[in-house]
Amino acid sequence: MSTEEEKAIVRRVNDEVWSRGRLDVIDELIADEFVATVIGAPEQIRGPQGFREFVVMYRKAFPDLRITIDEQIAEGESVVTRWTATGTHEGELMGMAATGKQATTAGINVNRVSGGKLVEGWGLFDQLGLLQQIGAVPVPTRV
Amino acid sequence: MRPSSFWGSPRGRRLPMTMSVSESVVFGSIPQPAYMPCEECGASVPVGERDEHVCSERRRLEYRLFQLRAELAVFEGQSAEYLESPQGRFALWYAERERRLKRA
Repeated sequence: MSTEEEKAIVRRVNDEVWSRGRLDVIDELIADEFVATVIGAPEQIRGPQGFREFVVMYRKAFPDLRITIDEQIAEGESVVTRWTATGTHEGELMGMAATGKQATTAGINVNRVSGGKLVEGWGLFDQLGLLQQIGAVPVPTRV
Repeated sequence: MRPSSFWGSPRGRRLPMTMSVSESVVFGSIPQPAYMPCEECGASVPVGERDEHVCSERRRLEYRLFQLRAELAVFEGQSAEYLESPQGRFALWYAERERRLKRA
């Protein structure tokens, strides 16, 4: 599989699953042995079902979630994706009741693609900024 | 010619000038988000563009309605309850009659 094809698979996950809520394509794009580490998350994400639960959690909180891919770099089986996400907080997130506020956050994922599916992932995103925007964490005042 | 005095007098060495202890702009401050929601309409606005931001009226109304959703739900419940009551049914009947009379 070429690096362009690998990038395209990651793009499909972002465009179809995350941005359009196409949970039906998860089995097509996420391998059974998929394991992902999200920095700051208490547990790893495992398999298509784990990935589905992770996506549902955020899409319920932000039903109009949209991810824009800012840059992709691929080498071998690894694809690095830098992205920006925007959504309106219309559902509960981590115990935080919906606020109606729109939030924007950015992050980076490193995925390993094999056999046309994502088999491994590592990611981090600006969780603090997200929580600050929905009011869960105060924004310190600059002095 | 005497050498530059960056290192102090040629006779003795002074330590190089240190940075002032004022807060480093890049690393010394607590993280601030690059975007914040507008307080009026809830739209995500880059922090540097807040002064230029103009709320979409539609968005501002939707945001306000969202904030009042609990009160609206209570009002809708009370309104439905009233319309089911004898006084409410009469009010509906009377309003419909008035509407027909005006049309005639």
